[in-house]
Amino acid sequence: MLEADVLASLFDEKQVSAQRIPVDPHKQLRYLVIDDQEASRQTLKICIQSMGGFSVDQAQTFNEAYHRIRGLMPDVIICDYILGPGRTGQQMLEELRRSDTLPDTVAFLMVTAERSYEQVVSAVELAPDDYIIKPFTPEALRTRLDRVIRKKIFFRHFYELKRKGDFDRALAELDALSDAEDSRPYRFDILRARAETMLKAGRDQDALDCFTGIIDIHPFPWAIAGQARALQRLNRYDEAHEAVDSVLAAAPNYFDAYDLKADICCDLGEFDKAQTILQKVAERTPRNWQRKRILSNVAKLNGDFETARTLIEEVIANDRILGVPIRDRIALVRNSLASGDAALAQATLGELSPADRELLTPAEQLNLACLEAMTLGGEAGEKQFERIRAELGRVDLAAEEALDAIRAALQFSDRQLADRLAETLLTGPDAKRAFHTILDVFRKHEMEDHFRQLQRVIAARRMERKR
Amino acid sequence: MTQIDQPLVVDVIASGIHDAKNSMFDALARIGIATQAIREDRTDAALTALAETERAVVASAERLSKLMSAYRLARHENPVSMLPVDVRELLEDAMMRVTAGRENGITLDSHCGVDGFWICDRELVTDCLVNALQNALRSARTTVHIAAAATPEGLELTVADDGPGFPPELPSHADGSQSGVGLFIARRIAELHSRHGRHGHLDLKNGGPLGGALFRLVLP
Repeated sequence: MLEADVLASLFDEKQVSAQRIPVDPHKQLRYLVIDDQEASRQTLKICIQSMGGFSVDQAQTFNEAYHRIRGLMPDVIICDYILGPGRTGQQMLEELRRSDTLPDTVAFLMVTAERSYEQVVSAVELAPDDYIIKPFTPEALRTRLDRVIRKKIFFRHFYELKRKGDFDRALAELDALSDAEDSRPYRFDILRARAETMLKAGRDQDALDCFTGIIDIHPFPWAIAGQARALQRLNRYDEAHEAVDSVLAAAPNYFDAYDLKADICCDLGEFDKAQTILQKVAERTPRNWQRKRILSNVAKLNGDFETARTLIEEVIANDRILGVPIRDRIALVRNSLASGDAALAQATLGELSPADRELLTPAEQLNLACLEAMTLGGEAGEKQFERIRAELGRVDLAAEEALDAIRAALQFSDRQLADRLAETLLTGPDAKRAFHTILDVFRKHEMEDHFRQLQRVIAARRMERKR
Repeated sequence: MTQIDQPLVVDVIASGIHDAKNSMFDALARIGIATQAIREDRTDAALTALAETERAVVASAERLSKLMSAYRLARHENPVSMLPVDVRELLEDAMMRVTAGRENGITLDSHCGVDGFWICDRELVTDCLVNALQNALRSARTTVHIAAAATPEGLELTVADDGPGFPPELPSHADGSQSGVGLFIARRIAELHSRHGRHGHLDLKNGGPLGGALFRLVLP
């Protein structure tokens, strides 16, 4: 992939401007054409070559494309909407963007013979940079690509700042861009980018205001979904539900909105409802492994350990693309322990290689050690737990990891640590989601009364703080 | 789609298929001419025939595109896909798709008085403009002008020519003519664009800025 400024210089050797393309950039750019039809790939390749494109890589399937992108990042991806049975280019784009595999600097153009794809583009949050409907002339393709590449140049510094997680500076860059002379074609893109970045930056009220401003222009389903996410974060659940229901009424095939609805249900502790929603949408998107991971997690929260385990096994068996195997395997260990299948947990742990383990963050390594202690049980487990006990009280753990730590603490009779971890969870943002699981864990150790007492102490402290 | 509209759409689809078949037949014939010319080492003649083939294929694609628009109008309750569209690019796209007029010496110029985006269905509106441009290029004596302006009614997209103007009785879908089908689709597309309770509309009149026909599509 070309660096943003190098790319910009291809378009204008001296002055970086998004408006003029005096030199032919296409021969410098690396293209990836993704289409399951050989003839279509060849046609696209000829089109690119007729524009002066030289480096044109090709991929036939979703998996092949993914490996090519991981191997050598292209500058421009031209992808057909239909990628064989059960797979679409849109699905691929969403997985690539969600897994952070595809930087925003890479141009993504969707090719489609289906006019219905426009309905998708107008609805979804993760849209391609542009789309083109077949049949088209090489000139039309070039025009679309030139516009997309100009846009990439215009936003290049913003993309870099956003990717680094420097959201304050990214937002400042957007302000500067909106004042730029050549911002005319990108005014709406700036509005959208600002709303999305506000949400990423955790500036939920600002994000809500930005999305509401966009909805005033037009009620795009993705903008209403953004509004719902902001409302969810602001704990305005009824309004969030209402917003997401209006998205689904307008765009019933907007599957991400179902995920969002389920997520809001989880925040409210309505895990059975969340599981039902996700199960229905997972049936309609059988090869969306990320959704199955989420469903597995929700099933576990709902106490449906068997479903949770089966789903994660299905993900491990099938997702050869985006799955980070060790994380799925850790989920399987967790789900096996929850469903009482210590043998499967043991076998799964035995499959983890040292190289896999190195991929984990320190908190994840600690979590794994915790799961190993629980799987071992007895004296060996206690010894293992002893080694990590102090660290479990110190390290910032994700909700799932903290729940494992509580389980381990109670299994190895460290009530103090269990209480401390439970209190942290119950006073944090995941409280609603974690409450029932913590209660179940204490119940399993016949400590429900103790948990209720802990709950009262936490509530009293909260009241005190409010005074 | 109302009951009344359904037969109209069937007419439109039949007419579109007929036109596309004609264009494909034209392309096939020209491929034959090109092949013969290549065999006889007449490179110039072959290149001319291939260029004509390309035009016939593009024309066929345009007709099929129109057919898809008609199908969408019939198939869905609300087939418009609203997106923010840069108005200047909208005009550029429409102009790029009409090449035939430039070859018979007719000047095609444009003016975009809207500095930014408008929310509309890019493909359907482009189809509308392409159709209007094709009609205008067929009728114009010397000049066709396409323009965009922001008015209190909404986005005003106009195509004007210096031809004889529309006939007293406008072509309709029922006569199976290209322009009749296109106008039918344009009207439906205009109606389907709505904002704050206001719908788009299509006006056709004579005595436009160039003295001939004026096609005016207004999107709220």
